[in-house]
Amino acid sequence: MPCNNAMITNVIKAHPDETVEVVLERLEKHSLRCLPVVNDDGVLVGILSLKKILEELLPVSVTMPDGLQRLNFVVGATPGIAKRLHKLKPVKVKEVMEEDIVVVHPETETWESFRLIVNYGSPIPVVEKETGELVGLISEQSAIKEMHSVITGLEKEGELPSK
Amino acid sequence: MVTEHLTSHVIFGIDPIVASCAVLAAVYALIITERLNQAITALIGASAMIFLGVISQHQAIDGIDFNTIFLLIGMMIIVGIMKNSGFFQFIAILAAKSVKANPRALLAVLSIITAVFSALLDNVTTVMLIVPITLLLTEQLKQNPYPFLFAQIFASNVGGTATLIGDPPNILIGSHVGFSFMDFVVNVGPPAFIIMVFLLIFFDVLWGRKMTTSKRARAHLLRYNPYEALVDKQLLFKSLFVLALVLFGFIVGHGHGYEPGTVALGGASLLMLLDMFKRKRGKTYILSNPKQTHAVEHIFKEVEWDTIFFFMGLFIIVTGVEASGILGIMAEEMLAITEGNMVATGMAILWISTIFSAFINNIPFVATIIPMIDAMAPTFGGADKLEPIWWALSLGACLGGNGSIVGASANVMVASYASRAGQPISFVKFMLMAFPLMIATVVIATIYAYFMFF
Repeated sequence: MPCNNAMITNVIKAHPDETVEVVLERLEKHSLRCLPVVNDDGVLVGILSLKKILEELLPVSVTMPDGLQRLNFVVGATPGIAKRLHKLKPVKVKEVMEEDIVVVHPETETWESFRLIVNYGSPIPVVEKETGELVGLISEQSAIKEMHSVITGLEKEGELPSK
Repeated sequence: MVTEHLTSHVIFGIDPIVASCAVLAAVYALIITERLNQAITALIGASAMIFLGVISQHQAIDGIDFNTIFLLIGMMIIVGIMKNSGFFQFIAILAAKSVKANPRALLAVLSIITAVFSALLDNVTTVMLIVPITLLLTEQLKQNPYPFLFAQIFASNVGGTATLIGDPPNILIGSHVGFSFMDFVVNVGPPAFIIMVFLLIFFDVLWGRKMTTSKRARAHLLRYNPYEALVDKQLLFKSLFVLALVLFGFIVGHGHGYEPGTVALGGASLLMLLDMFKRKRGKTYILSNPKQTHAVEHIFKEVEWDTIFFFMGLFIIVTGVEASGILGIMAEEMLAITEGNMVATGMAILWISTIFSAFINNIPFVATIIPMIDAMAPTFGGADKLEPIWWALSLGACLGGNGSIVGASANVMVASYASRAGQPISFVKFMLMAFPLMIATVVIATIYAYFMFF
């Protein structure tokens, strides 16, 4: 079964030229952790997540490959971190977003899309194979919800004992 | 004699001199262009030596200096375990606090720490441990990290010059000639020390004295708690104990016929054994056998096998070149130019190795030139008369590494970190300053060598 049944289609998005501040407000308003970043043509160009924003607040000596493993020796850095966030707010989304992201296509099999969620985290964007246009997202919630509706279907067909 | 014996094995009737030189030239070309991984390059070259019939597999295996290989593997294991203790960050932070987070003093102390660690551990590991914390400290002090990284490159190569285990050329020379740990400390330690002092003054005049930072930034750094950086105190004590034991073994073992390879590998196995014992809630227990296997596999991954096989391949290639007799001919040519004069030969070796090491990896160069120097022994009245030339080679090959950003593996590692941190070091910019400065250090080494060795 293709995965597009398990996806959400009414997706809240961000634009690459918006500021981090605007996106942060949108994330808070909708209680979300991340937004797909879509350009004027509807093509997915990245993802901006709260996790990525937190990563931006870390020193580069930690986030770079083979960087420092710990920061527990840095005491009293909180005001400094807050200042970093303050500086980050007017930055454009395209400067901060993750561009190297895992995507699926509408015809990708459901199990494979679940595997990707397990391995790479939720949500996984669903994009058209040819155009790269965003069609939806598969999240942990939408995946489980879809399985629930399949169970209901199986119960109706008598393949599973109904409650 | 060797040549005649071998010629019969050579396939397609290729002269072994031609075959071995072609292989060596191809290997050098591949190493210089950096298009192919160094281990693959060396192993292909080594296989070619055997397949072309220049040497047999038996000769090839005999040609591998397992003392060097064991020394490298042993030290890599010890450092691989030790680095998880957080010791290096601890020392760097402690040093930063001890100089009151003054950037000028920090430039000097971080360079000294790099030099000392590079003398006792391999340079690449040292910079891998010191550069990330340097980037954090400089960021906090709002300093351009470039002077710090530049100074650390020089410090790691100069520090490495001072000891048997500090830099691969020294490991190769020491293992081949049988110099002890203390032989290195006594002979190349003093020039390395003098050069380090010169560099500290130079860096201070050039950069250090102009460095300023805000009180607030310094206060921030002074709040750092270095003890928090010590991730695993037990592991730290175990590794410091073993490292001390190994250094003791290097110093004392030589007189009793124990080579550094045995000492390092012995120390590595002891540290691995100690690492299998853990403490939890006041009780000491040993890991279960499957967990031990897992831990050992993890430790073995810390060994840079790429470097180890590069060395093995090189040893075989050089054995082939040596067996062909070409190095003997080259040694004669060189002696003809220097008219068999010891000082002239020594200085020529020092400066040739300097220039070579500035642009190509100094390991294959030193590996190739060692048998060539061996061949000079009869001219100077025996192998033991060659000692000054070995020290000249050591100084040239180690110090030459500072000449360009690709001159030594440690330089490449620092540059790689710098670009990861968004502060790339340009080849030309580095060289404009580094090459003349390197020449200055080699001039110091030359003067020292002239008066002390010859």
